[in-house]
Amino acid sequence: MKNLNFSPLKKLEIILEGAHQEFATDLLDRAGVSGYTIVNNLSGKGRHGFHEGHLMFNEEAVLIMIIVAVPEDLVKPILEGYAPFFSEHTGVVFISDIQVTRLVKFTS
Amino acid sequence: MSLALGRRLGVRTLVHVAGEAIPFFWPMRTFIHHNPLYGLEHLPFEQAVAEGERLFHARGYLPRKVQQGYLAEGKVDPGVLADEVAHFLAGRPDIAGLDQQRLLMTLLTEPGVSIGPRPTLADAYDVHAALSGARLPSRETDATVLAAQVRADMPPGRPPYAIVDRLFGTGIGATLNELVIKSCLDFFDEGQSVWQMPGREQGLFAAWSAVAQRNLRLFIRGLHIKRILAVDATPEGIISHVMEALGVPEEDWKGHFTCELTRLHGWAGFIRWRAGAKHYHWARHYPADLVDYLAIRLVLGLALLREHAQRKGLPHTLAELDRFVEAHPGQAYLRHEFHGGHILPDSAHAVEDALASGRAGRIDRLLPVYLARKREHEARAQAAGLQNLAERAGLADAMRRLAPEALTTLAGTLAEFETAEGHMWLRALESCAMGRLMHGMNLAPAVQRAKRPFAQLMFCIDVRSERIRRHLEKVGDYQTFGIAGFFGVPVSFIGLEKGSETHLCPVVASPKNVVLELAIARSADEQAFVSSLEQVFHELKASVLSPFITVEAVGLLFGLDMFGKSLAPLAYSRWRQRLHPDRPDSRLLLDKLSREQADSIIRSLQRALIVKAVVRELNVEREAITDDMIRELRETALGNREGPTDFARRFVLDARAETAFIGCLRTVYRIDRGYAQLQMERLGRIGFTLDEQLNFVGTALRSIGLTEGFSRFVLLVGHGSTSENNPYESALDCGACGGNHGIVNARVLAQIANKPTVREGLRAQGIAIPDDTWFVPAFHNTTTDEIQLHDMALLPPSHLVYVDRLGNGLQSATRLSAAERIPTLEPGGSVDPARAYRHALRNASDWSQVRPEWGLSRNFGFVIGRRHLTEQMDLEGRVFLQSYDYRADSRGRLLENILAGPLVVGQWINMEHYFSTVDNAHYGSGSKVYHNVAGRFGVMTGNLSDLRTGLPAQTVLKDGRPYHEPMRLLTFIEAPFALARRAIEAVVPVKNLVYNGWVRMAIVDPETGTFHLFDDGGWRQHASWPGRPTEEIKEIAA
Repeated sequence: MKNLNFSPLKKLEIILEGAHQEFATDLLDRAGVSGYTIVNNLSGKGRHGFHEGHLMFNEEAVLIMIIVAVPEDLVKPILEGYAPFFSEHTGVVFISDIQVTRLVKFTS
Repeated sequence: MSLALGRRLGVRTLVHVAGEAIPFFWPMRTFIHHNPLYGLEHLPFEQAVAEGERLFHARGYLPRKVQQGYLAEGKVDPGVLADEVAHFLAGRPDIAGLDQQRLLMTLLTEPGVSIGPRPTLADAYDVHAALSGARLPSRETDATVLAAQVRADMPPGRPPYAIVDRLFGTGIGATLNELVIKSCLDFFDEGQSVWQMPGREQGLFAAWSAVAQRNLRLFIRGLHIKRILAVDATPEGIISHVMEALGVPEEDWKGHFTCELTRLHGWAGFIRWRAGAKHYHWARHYPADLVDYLAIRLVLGLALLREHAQRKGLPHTLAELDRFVEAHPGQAYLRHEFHGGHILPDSAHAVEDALASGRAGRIDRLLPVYLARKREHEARAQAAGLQNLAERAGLADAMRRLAPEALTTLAGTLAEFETAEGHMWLRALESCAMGRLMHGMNLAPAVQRAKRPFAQLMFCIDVRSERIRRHLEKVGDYQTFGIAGFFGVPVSFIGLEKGSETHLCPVVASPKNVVLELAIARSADEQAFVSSLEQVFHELKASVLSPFITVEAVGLLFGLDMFGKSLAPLAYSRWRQRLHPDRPDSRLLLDKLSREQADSIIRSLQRALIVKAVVRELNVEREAITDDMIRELRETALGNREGPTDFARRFVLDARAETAFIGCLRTVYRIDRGYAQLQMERLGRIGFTLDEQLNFVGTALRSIGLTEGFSRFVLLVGHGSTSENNPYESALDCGACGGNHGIVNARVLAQIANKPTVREGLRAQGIAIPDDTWFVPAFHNTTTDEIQLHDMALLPPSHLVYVDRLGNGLQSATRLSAAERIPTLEPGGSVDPARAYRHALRNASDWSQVRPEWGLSRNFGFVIGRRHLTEQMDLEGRVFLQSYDYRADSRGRLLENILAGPLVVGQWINMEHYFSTVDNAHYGSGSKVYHNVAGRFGVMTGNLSDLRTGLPAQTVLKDGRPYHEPMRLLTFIEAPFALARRAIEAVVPVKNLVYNGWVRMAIVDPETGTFHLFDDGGWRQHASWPGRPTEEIKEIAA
C-alpha cells in the first residue's frame, strides 16, 4: 500500500423524512456533486420522539440519510440551499472532515 | 450575470417549501385520492381548514343550512351540539341579562336566522341606536381607519398586481392566469394538440422564454418580457430579480410565492407532482418544476403590471402602493369599496363617476356622504339581524336592554362563534355516526367455526367491498376478509405490449420489484414456459425485456423508447391506460432470474446491438457477418481481448478505423462493462426472491388473522371499475393499487401462494395450508358488482367440480348487491336483483352516463378488527373493513403496517371526499358536464381554466345537495388499549393525524370491554359508548 495520497474533503450527512428525498438529491445534483449514498429506514430518537425504521408500506414516513462528500467550497452553498427547508422541516445535517484516496471520484 | 450558487439553491428551496401547501395533482389516467390540505396536515384540523380558506378561498365546513337538514333527519345529536356551545362559551365573558347559550343555539338550529356580515364602520353605539329606533350618533370616520381597512387587504405576501387590481380594477390577475394557462397548455401537452411547442426538451422555463421573447402578440400588448429575461439566464435569478423590482422584502418572499402558486393550484399541483415523478415519460423528456413555473408567472405578472402602470400612471411597487394609501386614504378606501365589491349598490354609480373623474375635490366631497350611508346601512342591518335572532330565541326584551358595551362583547362573541360553528356541527355529526357504529358492534367473543367454510375470500378494504361481502356471507358458507387491495405486494408491473412500468401499490410506497407479464402461446406447464421465455429473449423486438434494460439512448436506436410511443401506442392514444384483466394467455414472471439467464439476456442484447452498429455505421449487410465475428467484436469492446479482429480483416478496416468503430460500440452502443453492470442491476429488479415471496404471503395471512382453517378455495379479489367516456374512471379504481385495477396484485399473490416451496416455508412458520387449498385470483367490478375468476387454467382438476357452486354463490351476491345499489343511483331504480343487475351492466357501457356508480361516496368509517364485530350490521357500503386479529400480533408490528399503509390511504380518500363536498367549486372539480380534457392528463372547466382537482359534483352531490356526508374518518381498532396506543404512537404520521384531529380514533378493547376515544388532545376511557343511541336522537329530531 504505497503511494497513497490522502485528500481532504467534507462529509455531509443529511437526515430527513423519506418524502423529501427527491428534493434533497435534486438540490445536490444542482449543486454539482458527483454522487451520494442513501441509507433508508433509519431508526432513532429526536425532538419528535422515536422514529421506527421498519414500516412496510409507507416509505414517505421513515427517515433517510444522504451521505455526500464534497470539496470545502461547496459546503456553504449547499447549506445555504437547504436553509429554507430546515426552517420548516425536521432533520439535521452533520458536517465532518474526511479524507479520501481517490479524489477524482468526488469532483466533477 | 447570474446568481451565486448558494443563493440560487436557496431561492429554489424557498419555492419548494412555499409550494408544499399546494396539493399534488396526478394525471387522471391514475387518479389518486388525496387530501387537498395534505400540505397542512402538520397543523390541527381546524387551523388547517382556516389556512385553506385563506390560501384557496375555499370553505372548510358545510353551510349551516345543510347541517340543519342533518339535524332534522336525526343525523346530528342536539345534545352534543349544546355541549359544544357550552364549551365555546366557557371562558368567554358573561353578558348580564342575556342567555347566550340559548341565543347561540337558536342561531345554530333555527332555519332562516342570520345576523349578516360584521359591520366595518358601524360600532356598538350605532347598533344600539338602531336597535332602539333612534338616530345614529353623529361622528366622523378617521382617515387612519380608512387607510387601515385598505391595508388589511394588503397583507404581506399579496402580489402587488392583486393590490392594483383591487384599487384600480385593472384585472391583471385574470389576464395573467390566462397567459399562464396558455403557456402551460403548450408545454405540457401530451399529444392532444397538433402543433408542438419547440424546444420542450430544454425544460419549461428555457422553452417558454425562447418562445416568449419572439411572441409578437405579447409585444403588441406592450409587454416587454425580453428586458426582464435579459437580467439573468436562470429561473432562480429571474425570480430574485422580479421580487426586488417589486420591492418585496425578503422575509415575505415565501408567502408571496405561496400566494402566486395557489392562484392556479391545479396547474401548480400538477407541475409539483410531475417534477418528482421520475418514471413519468413526459417529465423525463420535457422537464419542468415549480421554479420554472413561478419564474414565468412572475415575469408575465411584472410585465403586465408595468404596462398598466405606464399607461395609466399607477403605482406599482409595494412602496409606491403604500405611499398612495398613505397620501390618499379616502380615495383608496372608495376604490377598494368599488373594485373590491363591497360598495353599497345605490352609491355605486356616484362613486364610479367620482373615481373616473380623477378630481380630488369631487372625491373628497363624496367621501363623507358615502361613509355616513354605509355606517347607517350596516348599523340597521346588524340591528335587524340581532333583533330577529333575539325574537326567535324569546330574548327580544333582553336584547333591547343591552348597553353598547354589552353589544360590543356580544358582537365579538358572535363573530368568533360563526368562525367556530362549522367545527361544532362536524363534531356533533361525527359523534352521532360513531355512536351508530359502536352500538351496532358485536363485542361478544367470536364463535369458533365447526368446519372450514366452503370458500374464503379476501376483498379490498374499499367501502364498496362491504356490500358484496355481506351478501356473500348470507347466501352460503363463505368467509370474507378485508385487506388492502394490493394484498401487501408492491408491484411494478410491465404488462403485455407495454413498455412502461405501472406502480401497483399505495402511492406512499414505491415498488422495488418488477413483475413482467409474458404471453404463453402453447402450454402452461413450467418447462414449456421457461423455454418460451428463452425464446422471447432472442426475439429482441417483441420482448419487453429489451426496452426494460435498454436505457434511453441505446433504446432509441432500436426505436424502443422505454416509456415511449413506439411500444405503447395504444396506451398513449387512449384516454387512459387500462390493464387488461381478461387476457387468459399470459403468465407472470415473478421469480428472480438466475445469473446465467441474466447473462444470456445481456449477451443477446449486445449481439443485436453490434449487428445494428455494423449495419448502420459501416453499411455492411447483415448476411455478411458471422456469429464468430460478433463474438469477437463484443469481447474486444468489453476489453476481454486485444488486437485486430477477424471482422476488420474481412472488411479491410485499417487500425484507426477499427479503433474508431470499437470506440463507437462502447460509447454509442454502450457495449461496455459499466453499462452491462447497470443492465444487470435492472434485471435484478425483476421478480422476488423466495424469502420475499414467503414474507408477502405470511404477512398478508397473518395481518388478517387467517392462519388456520383454510378452505378449498381462497379467492384473492382485486377490484376496479369500468365505464365509458369518463375521465374520472380511475377515481373509481383501487386506491391501494395507485388508482389501477387490482387484479395483477391478486394474480401475483395467488401465484406465489400456490407454489409448493412457498407452502413448505409457511409450514415452517406455523401456517399449515392444506394441499387441497388453492388460491384463485378474482376481479370485482364495482360498477356491475360482478366477480370474475382468473387464471382458471391453472386450477387443479380436483377443484373443477366445485366451480359451479362457487360461480352460483358469486352470481347471487352480485345480483343482491346490484339490487341494493341501483335504487341509490336512480330514483325508482329496480330492486329486483336480476333487473338491477342488467341496469348495472348498462351503466358500465353507457357513453352518456355521468354517474356509473357512486364509488366511495358516503364513506365515513374504518374498522380494524375481526369480522364478527360488524358481521351483523348493514354498513351500506360506507365503511372500510380491515381484518385484523390482535391475537396474532403480540408486538403490534402488523397493526403498525396497517396504520401506515391502508389507514393513510383511507384517510386520503376520506379527506378528498370531505373537501370536495364542503366546497365543490374550490376543492372539487365542479360539474362534469362542463369539463374538457386538457392536454390528455386533466380536465378544465370550459376551454380555459385551472386544472380541476378533486372530485366532480356528480360524485359527491345529488340534486345539488351533498350526497356524501362529510365527516373525518371515524376509525375503530379492536385490540388491547396498550397495544393499539403503542402502535399509533410508533407511526409518526398516523400519530400526527390522530393528535391533530384528521381522523377520529377509538380503540375497542376486547380484553377489558372498555372504549378509549381520543378527544380534546388526550385518550378518554369509557365503560360504555358515551353517546345516545341513534333511535333516541331520531326521536328528539322528530
